[in-house]
Amino acid sequence: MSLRKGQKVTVKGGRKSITCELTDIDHRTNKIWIRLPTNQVLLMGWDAKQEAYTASLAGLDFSVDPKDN
Amino acid sequence: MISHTDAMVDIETIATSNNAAIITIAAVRFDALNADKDMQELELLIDVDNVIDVWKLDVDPGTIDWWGRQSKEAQYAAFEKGPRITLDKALSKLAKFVGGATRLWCQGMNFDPVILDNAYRAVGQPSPWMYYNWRDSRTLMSFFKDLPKKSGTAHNAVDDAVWQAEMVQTCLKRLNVEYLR
Repeated sequence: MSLRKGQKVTVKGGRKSITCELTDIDHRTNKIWIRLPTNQVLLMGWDAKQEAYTASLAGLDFSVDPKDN
Repeated sequence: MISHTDAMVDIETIATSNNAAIITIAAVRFDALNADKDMQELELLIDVDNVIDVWKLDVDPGTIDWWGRQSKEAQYAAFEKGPRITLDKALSKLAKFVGGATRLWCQGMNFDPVILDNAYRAVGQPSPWMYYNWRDSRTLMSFFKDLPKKSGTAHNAVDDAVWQAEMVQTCLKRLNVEYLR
């Protein structure tokens, strides 16, 4: 199932899952932007090995797996 | 001029570790033994990116998730309301505001004072208090089971600080305390 702008997504950070808003998606570069509850926007790039969008913040790894969303 | 003898301090963070990133700081100057005097309030809203990227303080996904489940009002005060300032500026302003207070109060000794001391250390500023200045309002409030319910927004630092200061005054009055060291 493909991700779409404005939908709620589950972001995994460490052992926790955080519900965030997907604020934008660029299919050409395969990047997504998600808004954390802290109002920060996180740019996530596609990681083919993990088959998930990933980014790091404050030394923590965050990921969005399209299969979970 | 701030003449009150007491200061209540309350912070909101995005982690619960000793080096947690602070996002809001509230302080209230008040007189613990005199509820008739007006309180003076300070609210410091901190730039979240500054705390994380510049000062490298801790972020905890569990706490971020917890914030996502709080009221819209609490989230607005914690993350959207402005203007936001850098952590070092906020700590300087807090130091000025609490300067001269004989007693500093917090709701539990192992959270706010510890995190604030570590934040002062991180930005290279001295803590504006000595460890013996701190008093614990949570312990004082635990003596009574019928204290008034908190008004205002839960987890809004200013609302929390004001309510905690009022409860300190209430508790001390009920205990007939006339002198406080």
